[in-house]
Amino acid sequence: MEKQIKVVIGHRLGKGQKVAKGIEDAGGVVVVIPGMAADMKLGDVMHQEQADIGLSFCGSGGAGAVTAGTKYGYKQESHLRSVDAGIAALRRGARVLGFGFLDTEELGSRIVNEFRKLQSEGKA
Amino acid sequence: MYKVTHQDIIRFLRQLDVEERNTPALASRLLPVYHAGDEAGWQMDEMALLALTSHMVALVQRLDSREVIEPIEEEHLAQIAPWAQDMAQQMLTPLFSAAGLPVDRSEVGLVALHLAAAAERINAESTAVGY
Repeated sequence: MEKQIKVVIGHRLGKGQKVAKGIEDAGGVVVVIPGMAADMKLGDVMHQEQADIGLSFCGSGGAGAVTAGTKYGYKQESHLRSVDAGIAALRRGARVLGFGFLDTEELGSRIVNEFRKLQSEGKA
Repeated sequence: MYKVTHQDIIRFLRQLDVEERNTPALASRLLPVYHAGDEAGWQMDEMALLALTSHMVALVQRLDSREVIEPIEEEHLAQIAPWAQDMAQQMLTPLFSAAGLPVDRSEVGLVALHLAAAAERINAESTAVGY
């Protein structure tokens, strides 16, 4: 049975539920870190959950993504301002993506679908 | 307490891959912000400062481009520790004034969350090792 793609969401204001729905609709597994400043815990939870991808949301998403990358060595890109920018970062090998406040189902589903495609190409 | 220097901020900016030609000027803009936090008694370590610097780089870009952040709802602002909001307000007021802009309450809230999260983590780590 194919291993499900696991995504952790850390949103500065404890949100991310729409992205989570998109992830689940695309067949992924999602962990939404609860509470305020959740983006700062992204790396810890990703590591704990052995997640495939982490999504950080804040003014630029940078803080959560940078912390995750610094502490655990995840390849990260931040200051992403659109879904397309996130997909491009994923294709470049980033596994922690930092966005502004972009809580949409489209982001969640496209991230999972793109990662699944990368896996089938042997690139993830 | 962590007394941040101009060189520290440049080091953080380099870690964040900020263009080298911009780092000295940006560090000069951020130094008074960080000194205000230090004087107000913030609890920060290297990791927290790196994260805060990442946030501040984006904040300064927003100030310069006059981009206004999506407002944070009152119910969320109410959850942020008042001490952190006061400290963030002190830290950011000169930066907004220099830009000729009124202080944005949501921007204060986002920085306050950095301060509160850092203090919580550092306190928890101190407790865990039995200090």
